[in-house]
Amino acid sequence: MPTEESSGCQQMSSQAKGLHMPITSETDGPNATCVIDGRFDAHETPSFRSFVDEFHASRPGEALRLRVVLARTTFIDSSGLAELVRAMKQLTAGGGGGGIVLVEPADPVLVILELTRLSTMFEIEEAATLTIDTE
Amino acid sequence: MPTTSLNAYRAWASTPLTETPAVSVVIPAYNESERIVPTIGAIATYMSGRDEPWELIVVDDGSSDETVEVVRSLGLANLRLIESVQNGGKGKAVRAGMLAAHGDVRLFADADQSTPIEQFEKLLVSLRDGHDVVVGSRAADGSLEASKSPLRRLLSGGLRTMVDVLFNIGVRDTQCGFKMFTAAAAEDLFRRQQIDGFSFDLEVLYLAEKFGYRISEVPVEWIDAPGSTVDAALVAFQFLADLVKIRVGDLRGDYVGPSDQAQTRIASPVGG
Repeated sequence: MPTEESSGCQQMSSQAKGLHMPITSETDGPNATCVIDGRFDAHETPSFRSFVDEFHASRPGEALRLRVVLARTTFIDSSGLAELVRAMKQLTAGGGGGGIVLVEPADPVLVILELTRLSTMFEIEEAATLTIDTE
Repeated sequence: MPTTSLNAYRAWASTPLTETPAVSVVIPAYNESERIVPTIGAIATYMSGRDEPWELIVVDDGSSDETVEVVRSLGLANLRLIESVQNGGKGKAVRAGMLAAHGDVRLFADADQSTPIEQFEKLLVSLRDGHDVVVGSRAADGSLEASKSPLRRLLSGGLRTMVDVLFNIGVRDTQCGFKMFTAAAAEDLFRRQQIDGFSFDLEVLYLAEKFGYRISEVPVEWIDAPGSTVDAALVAFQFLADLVKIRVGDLRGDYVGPSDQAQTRIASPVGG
């Protein structure tokens, strides 16, 4: 059965909740989905890392796939980028098809990935309705 | 934001403007090699999606890290990089950027994206309502502050009180790094501005009041971005010293006279 949890917001004041949105995650066997809304910065990376570590440790030796939904992510800073790279390395280390997919990254996230030259490192699943100039 | 902002960004990134920009965004940067690129990405995507010609000016303040190389390597067509060989202070960097800007509307924004660029429209509404200077504020009703450390809360609260007592400026948050100016106000005020350090905001607002500019304070979201390159306690101490400097300078007549003459009194701008 899938399990769902919400994390990353517990330590924020109620006033801050409007700025730091929760990271929600769901696991289903060797597959997991993590949805990051709002900003993904150093305030949010600990909860993301905890989830990835737990997911990774939950099924030793299996190829694990993590989908990170970034459709409503407004900003990702260098610590958030570093955390995505760490997760990718962790999940691909075992080979066998494990890895991470960035799902429908919002425009600013896509631009940040391009400017940091990380867009070629990740498997990116763009929204079906997107029409992007590729020059 | 619709996907058109992505296409607009790609056009902005690759094709130099042929017209005068309506908006200039100035980012002062000191040792920001790790944080500046995501900030540029967020600002460029948002601003390009507004469908007005705009320019981005990054003013390096003599960084000792690779900020200059990192920004230059982006190769963005409408990003201008102003360099300095020496660290002259945030006030000096912002002054250089605001005076080099061509936009009718000029915003300076901190390099850590602590005030999200999405707050731009709120300030613009106030500018278009007839104000000359619009201050992004963490103290105005409706503002949101997140993750601010207790030390920074204490320091900023104390400094606000000091400013209230000593300056009687109507602005409650003088230090938020998100301020918008008309071109005329920016040209005048930043030529008069003399303080090169972090207190330059206060000086500019003091001058704006002194010379009769219309100022408004607009509540914004603000997130204490980790990895600040600022020593809050040291800045607070310097701020107090600058409060005295501004008052004494005003009494001495440093700020009177046309602003084009005032420019000759300030230290040479950051070279580019």
